[in-house]
This record gives sequence, structure tokens and C-alpha cells, in this order.
Amino acid sequence: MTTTDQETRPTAEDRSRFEEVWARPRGWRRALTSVQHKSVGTRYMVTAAVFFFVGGIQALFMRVQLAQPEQQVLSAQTYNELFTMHGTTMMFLFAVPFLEGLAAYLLPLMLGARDMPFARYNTFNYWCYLFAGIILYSSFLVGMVPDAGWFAYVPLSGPEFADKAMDIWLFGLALAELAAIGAAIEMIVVVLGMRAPGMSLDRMPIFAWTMLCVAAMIILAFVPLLVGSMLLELDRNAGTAFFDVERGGDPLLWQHLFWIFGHPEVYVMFLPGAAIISQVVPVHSRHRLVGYPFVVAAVVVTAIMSLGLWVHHMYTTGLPPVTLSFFTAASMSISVASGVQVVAWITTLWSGRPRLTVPMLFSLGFLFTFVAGGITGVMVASAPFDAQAHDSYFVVAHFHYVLIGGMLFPVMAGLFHWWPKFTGRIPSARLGTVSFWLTFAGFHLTFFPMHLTGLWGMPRRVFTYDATLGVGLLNLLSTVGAFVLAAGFVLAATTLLVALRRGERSGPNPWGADSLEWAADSPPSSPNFGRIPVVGSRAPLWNPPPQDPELDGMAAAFDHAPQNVRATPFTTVLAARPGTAAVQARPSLWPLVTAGGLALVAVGLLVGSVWVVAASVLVIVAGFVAWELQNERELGAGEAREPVGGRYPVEAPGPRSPGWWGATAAAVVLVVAVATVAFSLLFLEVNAPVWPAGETLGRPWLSAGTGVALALAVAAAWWGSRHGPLDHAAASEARGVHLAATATAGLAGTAALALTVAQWVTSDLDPTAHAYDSGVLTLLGTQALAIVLGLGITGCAVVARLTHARDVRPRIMLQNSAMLWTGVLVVWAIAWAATDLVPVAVV
Amino acid sequence: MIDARIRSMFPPAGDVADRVDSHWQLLLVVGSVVWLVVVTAMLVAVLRRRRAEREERDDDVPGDEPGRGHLVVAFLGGVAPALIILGIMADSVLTLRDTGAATDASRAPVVVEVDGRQFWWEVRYPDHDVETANEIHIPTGQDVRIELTSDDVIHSFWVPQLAGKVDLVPGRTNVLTLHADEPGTYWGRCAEYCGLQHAWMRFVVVAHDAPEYAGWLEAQARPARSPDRVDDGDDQPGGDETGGDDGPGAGPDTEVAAGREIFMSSSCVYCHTIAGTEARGTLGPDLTHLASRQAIGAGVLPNDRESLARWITEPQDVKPGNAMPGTELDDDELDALITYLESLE
Repeated sequence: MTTTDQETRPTAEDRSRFEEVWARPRGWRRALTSVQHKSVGTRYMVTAAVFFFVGGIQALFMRVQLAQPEQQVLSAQTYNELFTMHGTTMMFLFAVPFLEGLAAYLLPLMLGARDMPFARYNTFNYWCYLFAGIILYSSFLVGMVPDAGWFAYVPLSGPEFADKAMDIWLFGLALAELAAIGAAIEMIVVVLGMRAPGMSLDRMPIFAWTMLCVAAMIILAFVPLLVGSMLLELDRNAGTAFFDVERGGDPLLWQHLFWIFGHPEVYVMFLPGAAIISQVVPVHSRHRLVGYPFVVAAVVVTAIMSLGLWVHHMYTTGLPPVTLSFFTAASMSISVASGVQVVAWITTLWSGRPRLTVPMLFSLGFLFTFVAGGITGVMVASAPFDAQAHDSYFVVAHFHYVLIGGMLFPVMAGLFHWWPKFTGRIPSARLGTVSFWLTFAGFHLTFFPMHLTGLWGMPRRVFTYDATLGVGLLNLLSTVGAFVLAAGFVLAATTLLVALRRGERSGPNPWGADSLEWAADSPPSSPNFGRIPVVGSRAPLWNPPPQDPELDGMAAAFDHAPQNVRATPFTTVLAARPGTAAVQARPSLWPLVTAGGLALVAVGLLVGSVWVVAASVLVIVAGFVAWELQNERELGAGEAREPVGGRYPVEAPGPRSPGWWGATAAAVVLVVAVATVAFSLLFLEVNAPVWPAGETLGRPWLSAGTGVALALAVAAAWWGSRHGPLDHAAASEARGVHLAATATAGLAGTAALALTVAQWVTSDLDPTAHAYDSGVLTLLGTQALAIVLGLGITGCAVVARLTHARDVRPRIMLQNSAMLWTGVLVVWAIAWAATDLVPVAVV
Repeated sequence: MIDARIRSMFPPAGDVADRVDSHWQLLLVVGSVVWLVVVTAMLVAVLRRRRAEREERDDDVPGDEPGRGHLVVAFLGGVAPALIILGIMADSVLTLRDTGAATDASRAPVVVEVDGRQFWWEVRYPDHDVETANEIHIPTGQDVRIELTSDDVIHSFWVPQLAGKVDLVPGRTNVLTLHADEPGTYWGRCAEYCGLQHAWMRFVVVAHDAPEYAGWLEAQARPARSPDRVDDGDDQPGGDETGGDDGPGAGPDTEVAAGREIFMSSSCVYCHTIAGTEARGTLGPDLTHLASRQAIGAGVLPNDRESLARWITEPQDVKPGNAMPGTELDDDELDALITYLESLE
């Protein structure tokens, strides 16, 4: 970082005003209203760590039960509840949220930004996740613990075989998914738009590349699960027939939806783990990562391919050999991408001078373990072998090698690596080393024997086994190992916590690392960087800064500035050239209120109280309205809207501000959701003997009318976004156009909503009669929900116009609503094709 | 004879399991070698010290230096694994084809229908009008077509020594071919989590040579022995409570008749069928030839008097969550009932 003009600008007064605008709230306000990425990231990680230990304790109970044949420590019911909650907790409440938290904490720092793009939404997601965990664990309080496994296969999880515990599970899951999807949108926007000037895509840290890919995977994979869990909830409580064989449904539909999520999920956990290794190994080997472009390519290829492998979880469901061969080949191929990464790390070690620090030890432990898990992964990818290994302890061994080896060891490496950054203190290397060896030895003692246990015939998810199976000794070893492993994690956690008070002070960069987070203070100040760094290479702290006046100009303009609004540079997507200023949110209570309202909706549905649901919906609506009013008010008027440094406008239309990206991502989420329902219908149609059982929806005029109305909404919003001031104008402009545009979009949207409702009411379909009817009415419902979202954002545009008549803001909000209306139009097209076009065309 | 206690996929005892086993050995050898090479390279990379004198700081050339490192990553990381994977993929597809050919069951001479139930197996021989439970008898040396479906939730059929698993999915019929080379008892079980007592949903496959199998089928196709039809005055010793092969004597025979009466007048008949009697229930296993089976409760207890008594009086203690309610009987009634059940050979 250069500090050449620090003498002249900023002055001491500038600095104090800058610090004031970034001041953190104090006391209880901080707990409830802070939206800063570091506090949100910390909350994510702390909450996830708590769930990790809870899930770990569940695992220890299971290991005690299995230590000897035919033990009776736990009843079958308790055991089934524990393995269900262990899987659910580790996947949905620990692994994914922890990584989201790590990303929320690190990405802005690594990229040279001051906060996440939509900090309040980021906080909203955290609260959703916390409430998801509370709802799931309240099942222990009310004595209805989910027991259908973390995969919840129907019919075992369906209305006939599972009690209300399953509803608790589904609502908890839905909230956690919602949080993950929101976190994904944040990650995409921060990585694509908020990198330090000069950090072109090919200079981006591997961690940022990876989180970008992971975010895309989350949107494409988690949305289907969210939809799937809603379909199951409808089957359970509204009597629809998606999974009921008798009425045209199919239990295998759930497996497809679940694994379309579930397989990418594995890589959503592993890829960030690998990315941590790609950050840690070069620093602790004193050598840049060898083969950076290959590693990036490997990550991208893995992300894309992971979306097409899900069927390898379903090899035994009775699929034709062609399908089996295809998915065997695809599943095995993905290991080549991991091979590239492994060789890149080893070559980096080979070329550098590795130091056996604690992060390095965990990285080596990762390689040792993950490679073994990858190799057993190739084995179970082979359909004929999997027919033997599937659902046996061999698979349990395999995925713990991949998940603990591939995700948890890297997370430990990352925690010891970044702890000085998080806390300003260096954890004890001695205790850290002991905790590494304990976890490493405990892990292999626990999970290596399970390969044999499985091959010798022990299936998964059994609460006991008999002595004649001959796996008593192996199970005993696993149980002993589990306690060693647990001791290792407890020691690691203690080491980190002790370091909070006793650790050696670290300074900004104790490891001599290369990436931008090490340029910030330890722990970082509220805005991370007073002066935004500029980047000219892949290792900005190992190389001299670039001599580029344009980049320096932006850094100077943002040096402890602006001081009347929180803002950070927004740069171009590919080359990260200077662009605009992105406004960053200040503390707010509304994310907590709205997320709480959502959780209350779930509670109301669980206790079956219409009044609770209605009241919660009111809370949500009021919360969002207050949120939007606060947003527009705090975006500032007058001076706050002046371009930063006279050159960088505060927001600009098009992809030059975060809103455009956010609206686009939201539209994509809507489309993926509806495409999932449409896919489900198509899947059922292909597999059902008669489809549809009776009439199709058959309301062509109403449907066409809806489409026309939505197209009109798109056109009106788009037209409005083309008018009005681009900068801070002296007087209100384009009043008539904006009024007409918002009114037209609003009226057209309302008409579309009315037509959708009319389609539902005038159709003779009964959602409880046949899966076709269920699907059609669900599509109409989703379409109505999408229209309501479109109306909501149009309302935001009205508020923006009322508060910012002299700014670019109304244009931006109209443009965002045009993006969202486009998404709704696509939703309509997909829904129409799935309800009327395809059934008729196929017949 | 095959040892019935072997529950492992080793050693394989039929064509399909054999082929998969040789595929597994290839996977094991190749996988182990790859893992050893990688871990050795990693350890050498860390431990060698000859670069100790290098400078603290490495220069990074923007765009990265396209040097030897790149070639290493591309070839050792990309090309070499791809070649290995191609080889393994080929063997996997060939194995699939071979086992697929073996599972081309259209010509299989023997057909068995298996229904998964929570938590037991209903077994039917449609060509012979035989119904039984938790025990599948097959002839050796012949392909047996197993047609799998489920009446409740998803189960999975797994006999490790004979073949891989196939799921039982409601609304579908999946097909699996079993082929046993040697006579013997092969251990099998449910491999897909199916609820509370998934752990105790087991079965056995008993392979006989052809004449023995024919005899078994014939015996199973007969209706249940009825005490009315037993010749009185047979010269069996009366003390043998478990009943001999040739039928019980006069004392036990009265007891059999009494037990039969208890069975027919209690709630047993709502769920169980005994062919040749008025018991026609279909919720539980067919008991026509109960006494010929090795175990009860899908493998949870051996089939003897003591276990039957426990199972009849307190099935929810033995296997909580199974569909059978406990029946309250006094000791005499219970004895008679068990004697009747043990006569059902």
C-alpha cells in the first residue's frame, strides 16, 4: 500500500468523520442491529461451531451404542433420531453455514472491500440460519425429534409414516436453505463487483474464485431442495400427491430433487476446504501457488460437473445400465479435477520451503486423508462395486474421509491460519500441534476400520448388530478413535479460546502472507481499510504495488472517504478497473424482525394456528416496508450523493452497482425454483402410466393474458429506468415518466395476479386428486408468489422516487424491478409450458 | 457347504458377486498404489531441505510463470489421473455389462416375488402357489429372478455373498438375479433405512441342490398340517414336545388341536394366514410352514419354543415398533399355541 498523499488528504477531521460513519453500535444494540460483515461472519462461525460440538456429541453417543454387539445403551428410536440429527446438523447447521461465515468474514478483506454488498440482507440470512437451528433443535424440547434420516426419503418421511417431527425438520431445513441461497447472492456480488482496483479476475485469490463457483452451485442446487422440501410439506399437510404412487406421484422424485442438491452439496463443502488449502499452503511454504490457472480451471470444472452426478447416489434404485454407465463415467471423471489441485499443492510444497506450522500440519493431514477419500470415491462411483458398498459402512468411511479430511481439516488449518487476523493473537503452536496429532490419529482410528466393517457386511443406520457379524473389534476401535478425535477438537477449541487472552500479539501479518486481508489491522477495523489497497499481481503483499495513476486515483478518492455515507469502490467485472461507489448499509434492526417473522410463520404452521401465521406475515410485510424506508432514507440526500472524489458516482445504472446484480440473481433464483417444479412434473409425466389423469388446466386465454400483463410490466419498468438524472441533479426530473412507469408496472402486475388467481379458481383441478393437479396448482401458486415479489420491488421503486427525486436512485430501482419482472415473465412461460403445452404435446 | 455366518461380500459365492469381486480387487490395487505415490511425494516435498537457502520472498510474475511447475500440474495432475480413470472406467463398464448379462433374467427358470414390509420380507413363488417369509429358498446352479417391490416404504435387498443391492420401491418392480454355485445358507438384510427396526430386517437365502429344492417346494405348497388329519395311535413317544418329523403323538396332538383353537379364536387370524384354515390375514407373515423356518421376527430370534413364547407375549419388547401386538395368554394356552405353531412344518 502506498501512503504518499497521507500528509495532505485525509485530514484528522476527515478521519474522525470517516470513523464515525463506520462506528459500530454499542451494547445490546450491537447484538441486535450490527450488520457488519465481520460481526455477521463471526456469528455464523460461532453458531456453527456450537452446532458442530452438538453434532459431535450425538456421534459419540452413537459410537458408544455401537462399541459392542447388541448393546442397549440407546433405544432404536433414540439411535435413529441421533443419526438423523447428526447428519442434519453437520450438513445444514455446521458445514455450509460455517463456510458462509468464513466467506462473509474473509471475502471483503481478501478483495479489499469494506463490507458485503447487501450487509442487511447478509444479516437477515444469518438470523434465518439461527432460527432454522433453533426450530430444528426445539424438536428435542417438544419430544418430536426427526427420525427419517438426513436424506428423508419418502414414503418414510411422508404423511403416512412420519409424525410432526418431519414438519419441524422440513421448516428448519427450508429456513437454512433460504439463508444459504441469500449468502450465495452476497458472495457472487462481492466477488464480481467489489474487488480492489486492479484485482482482475486472474489476480483473484483462489478462495474468491472458489466461493464464486460455490455460490453459483448453491443457487442451482439448493433452490431445488428448497422447492423439494416445500413439495413434501404440501404432500404432508395439504394432501398433494407429488410423491404418492397411488395418485400419479413417485417416491423417486424426492430422491432426484434431494440428490440434485445433495451431490453439489458435497462440493459446496469440499471446494472451500480445498480453497483454504490453496491459501494456506503457499503462505506456509513461502512460494506462490504453482499452476494457478489449472487450479482455477479445476475448481470451475468441478463446480459444473458436480451438477451432473447426482444419480450416483441412486445406483441401486433400479436404473437401466446405460444410465449407470453414464453416471459412473461422469462421477469418476470429476476426480481428475481434484487430481490437478492435489498435484498443484504438492508441487507448491516441493518448490517452496514448507514450515511445519499448525496450519501446515492440518493441510498435510488434509492431503493424506482427502486423497484416500477421493480414491474410495472413485470406487463407489463404479456402479457395480457400489451395489455392494452402497449404504454400508464403507460409504460411511468414504464420506467422512472426504468431509472431515476435505472440509474439517482445512477449516482447522484456516482457523489457525486466520486466528491472528480475527483476534490479533497467535494461538499456541505447541497445543495446536498436539491437537492436530490427536484429531489426525483419532480420525483414522475411527474411520479407517469402517471400510472393513462395511465390506464385511455391516449396513449404515442400524442401531445394533449381532456378534456373529464379526465386526465387534472394528467397531470398538472406531469408538475409541471417536473419543480421541473428540479430545483433539476440544483441545483445538481450547487452544484457540485461550489464545484470545494469552496469545502472543500478532500484528497485521504474522505469517508474511500474500493476500490483502493481511494488509488490514488484526483484528480489522470496522471499515477494514481506511485506504483501499490497489492490486497489480496475484500476491499483492509479496510484490510492489502497481504504478497505475488510474488505480491510485480511486484509492486516493476513497482514502478515509466518503465520510457522510458508508461506501466502497465498485469495480468492473473482468479487470477491476475503477467504476463507481457502492453504498454500504449501516446497522439495522429490520433484518432481525423480518427473519423472526419468517421463523414465526414456520412456528404458526407447526402449531396449526392461522392467527400466528397471519400475524407473522404482517410482521414480515411491516418489517420489509420499514427496511426499505430506512434504506432509502439512509442512502442520503444532497452531499451524500455527490460523486466520491468528484469522479466516482454513488451508484450508477446497469451492472455498475450491486443492485443490478442482486436483482438478476433474485430473478435467476425464481426461475430455478419454477424450473424445479416444472422438472418434477415432467419427471412424473414420464414415469406415470397415464398423464394427466383428467383434463389439463385448459385456460389458454387467462394464461395468455397473464403473460401479456407481465410483459407490459417489464416494458414499463424498463422504459422508466431509461429516464431521469444520472447524477445528482439540481431539480426533480422525469416525474411523469417515473409515475407512469411505476403505475403501469404495478397495475399490470396486479392484473397478472388477478388472472393467475382466476386461472386457479376457474380450473376444475383438485390438488389432492392427482399429481398433475398438484403440480399445476403449485406452479400457479409459485407464479403468484413471484408476481407479489415483482409488485414489492415496484413498490420500492415508488419509495425511491419519493425520497430521491433528484437522484439516479429511481432509475436504478426501476431497472431492478425490470430485471425481476423479466424473471417473473420467464416463470410464467415455464409454468405455462409445463401445465398445458407439454402434457398436450406429449399426448 | 457355505458357512452361514459369513455376512461379508468375501468370499463371493456366485457369478455376479465373483465378477464384482475381481473389479473390486483392481480398484483396491490401483487405489492403494495411487495413494502411496501421492503421500510419498507429499512427504518428500515437505521433508527435503535442499531449498532451505532460498530467499524469504518469491517474486510473483503476473499471469504466473508458465514453467516446469505448470507442466507438472498438467501432466501429473491432469493427464496421468485421466488415464488411470479411463482404465478403471472401462473395467467398471465391462463389469456392469457382465453382471447385466447375468441379470438378464428373462430366461431365468425360477421366479420369486419379494415384498418389503416394515420390517420383514414377504416371499412368494407365483409358479407354485407358495408363500413364506424372511427365507428364500433357491436351487443351486440356476438363475433365480427376484422381483422386488414394496408395500410401504423403500427397502433394499442385499445378500452380500451373492450380489449387490437392489432397492424395493413402492410402485415399481425391480429385478435382481441371484445365482448360487454351492448349497448353503446365505445371509441377507435390508440395506436402506426403512424406519425404527431397520436393523432387524433380515433374511436368509437357502440354496439347495435341485432335488432337495423340489422337495422343499412341494412341502411348502401343501396346506398346513391339521391335527384332525393326523392318524391317531402313531407310535411316537409322547414326551417330545417339539414334535417329531412324523407328527406328534396323542398327547401333543390334543395340545396341537387346542393350540389351533386358540390361534383361530384370537386376534392372530386378522393378520396371519395359515393355508387350509380360516386364518386369512395378510398384514403379517404367512405362517403355513412356520416351523420349517430358521428364525422368527425377520431374524431377531431363533425359531424355538422359548423365543416363540417371548415373541407372542411381548413382541414390542423384543422388536419395538413392529406391527405385531402382544397377546395375553395363560401358560397353558401359550404352551398349546406354541405346540400348534411348531407343528406347522
